[in-house]
Amino acid sequence: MNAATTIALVAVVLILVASLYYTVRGFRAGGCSGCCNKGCCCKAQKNDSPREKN
Amino acid sequence: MTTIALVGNPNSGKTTLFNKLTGSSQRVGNWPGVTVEKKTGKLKKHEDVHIVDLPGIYSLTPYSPEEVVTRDFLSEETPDMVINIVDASNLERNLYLTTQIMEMGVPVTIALNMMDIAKNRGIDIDAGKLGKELGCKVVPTCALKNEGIDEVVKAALDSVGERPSHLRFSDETEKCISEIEKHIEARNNVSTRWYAIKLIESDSLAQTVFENKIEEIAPYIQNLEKTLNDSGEAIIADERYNAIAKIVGAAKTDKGECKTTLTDKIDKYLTNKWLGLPIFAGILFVVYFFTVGNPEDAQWYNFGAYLTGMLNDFIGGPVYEGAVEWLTIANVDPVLIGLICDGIISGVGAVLGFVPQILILFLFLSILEDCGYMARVCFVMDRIFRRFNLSGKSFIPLLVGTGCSIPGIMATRTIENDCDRKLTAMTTSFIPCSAKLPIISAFAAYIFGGSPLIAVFSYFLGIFCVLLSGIILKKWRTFAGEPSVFIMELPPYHAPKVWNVIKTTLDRGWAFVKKAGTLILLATVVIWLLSNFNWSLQFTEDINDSMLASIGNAICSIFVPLGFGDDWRFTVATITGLVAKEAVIDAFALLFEDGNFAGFITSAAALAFITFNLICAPCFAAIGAMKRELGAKGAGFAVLYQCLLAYALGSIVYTIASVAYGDPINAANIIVTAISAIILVYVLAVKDPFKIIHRGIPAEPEVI
Repeated sequence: MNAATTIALVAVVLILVASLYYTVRGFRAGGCSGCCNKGCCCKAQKNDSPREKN
Repeated sequence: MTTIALVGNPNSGKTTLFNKLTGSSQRVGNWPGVTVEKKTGKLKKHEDVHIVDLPGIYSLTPYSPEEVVTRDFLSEETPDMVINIVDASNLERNLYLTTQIMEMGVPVTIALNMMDIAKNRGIDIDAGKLGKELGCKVVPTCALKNEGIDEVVKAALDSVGERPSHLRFSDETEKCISEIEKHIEARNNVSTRWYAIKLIESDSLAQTVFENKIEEIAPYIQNLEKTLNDSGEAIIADERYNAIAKIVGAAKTDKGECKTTLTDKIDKYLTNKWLGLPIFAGILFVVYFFTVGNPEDAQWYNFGAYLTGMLNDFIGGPVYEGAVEWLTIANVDPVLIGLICDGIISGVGAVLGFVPQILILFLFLSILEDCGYMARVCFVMDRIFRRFNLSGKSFIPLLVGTGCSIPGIMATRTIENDCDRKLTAMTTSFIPCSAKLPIISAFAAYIFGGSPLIAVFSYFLGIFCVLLSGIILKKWRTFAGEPSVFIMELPPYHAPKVWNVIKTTLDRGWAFVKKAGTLILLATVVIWLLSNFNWSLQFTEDINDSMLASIGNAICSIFVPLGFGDDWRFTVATITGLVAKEAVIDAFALLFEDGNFAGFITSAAALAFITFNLICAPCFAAIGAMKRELGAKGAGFAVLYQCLLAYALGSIVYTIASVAYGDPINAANIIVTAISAIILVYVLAVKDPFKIIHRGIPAEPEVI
């Protein structure tokens, strides 16, 4: 494996790790990566869920 | 640390004020239920002051789950100060809540909001007199125009620690209150008077708090009810409104004549019994006309498709070719070049190409929302939904779900009827969210000549499935019951606020880009690896020898009755849609040469594909949201129901479309369609065992 391939591979792996981190973080916050309230709504949802309250 | 809670009726402007006070950018809207949980922020320039935005509530006796959030916060966490946002144009009704908060013993400052609307209606309110009558500070504000914000903050901070006054009821009621107060004690700094009044009202939450005192206090309440010849709840409500009428009479001058406003004139057509729905369909058509289209030959007026074409050219041209050239010159391994260029750049690029269409769509939708039209759509839909055992309240989550199903599922908390709430949470994802737009748009562009009718079809297909589910599921004990009562204020039409529109549009666009850079990127890499390596983990040139091909081939026959089971790539795309719906387009970009799938699917099968992908189980994140609202069993049932309904409808759509296009129909399709049709007709025709519960629902909504 030449140096350019190694550098490119490391770059791809770093990008993947970063996207995995942000994906997991999004899911843990309630999974609202497409939500309008920037993650905070689903976080609160976990605490305020009427189901969990019951 | 000082905590200030923002409390008020739904749609009175709490979140607008919260955003102004904290510098946040929480979503605001002109229909009830935009805020369904509490949100906290720090007051600008006051690090030690916390502002809590609470869901709208009409009284401190909650009915729906999100109202419980407000009541619980006020009674259990007792803030240092409440800023009560009062809609000046509906003073009497808003003060019903105000007087209850003051009875709690929490200091209250009133932000008399929407003063501009009140003035336009000829209503003049003397804030000083009103404050004197109520016994608290009243500050006129117009949160949207940034008027009175500093004054209300100053008044609130100055009043922390002050005990508010309260209404005086009739002598008989006051005597009963004081007798009850002797038997109970204050909780969490909430006054005994407030609990005593709640106990007279037979408030179930107050009764739970003082469970062991109920027998002791019951005689006082019975005596009061006997003396005044009414129920405790009615006595308190009646006396409260009488007292409010006196206060308002002293502070308000109504010079407004009952004349027909421009809003009334427009509403005559937009909320018309017969015209309302066709006008809505027409508006959707216009919106999608400007949004979707074939990017390759889009005209300038198809803004969305035109810009998508330009972006696709840029990603597929300079970005892709530049990357290939640069990596080749650098002597990077060809397999890695394939992953970066044919995988990541092509896959993520295909999804990113839809950003202009997302922006244009949400630009239009936020204009329609901000000017007040979407609130009318809820009203129009209420009329239709009632006939299918649902109410307009079920349409609000669907409207929110056009952005993303997750906040849509959350918005079901505004529905007080638990059966309706569950049913709506199960069906919210039927409405096309922003993630489904690329699927609709791609098929409209490459199979149906850029017709916006496909998008309108998708939208109404979602509504149709919600209504169908209303009929089917209401026959089950779990979902049976009278639909929620739908009360909604229709805001007057006004020019959309430019910043609101831009912010909503950019938020949607950014969320889409963020998802493409995270979840879609991961999905791309997984699909690329599975489609380029065989089970011996060797790189393969022929995609049909890949691991993905063998997985796809093993299960693709499931979709033969829907017309797209002959090609495993459509099956794989459907499965990846469970990760995120955008991943369907991502899979097309990776599995088809240049992402061109048009030659591999018939128009009839394309319609079945759209139907199945729109109605079947949503992405994992939305399934997670359903799990939180419905529980694991409920979410499991919802996913099964959605998939079966999608399969049945997909098969029926394929049969009808094949007949219409004159395409041959396969035997499997005929069998599945026949079985689906028989089951659907049976469940629709079978007598509703809970029909008796549904009677009494007014056939038509009323404008008060």
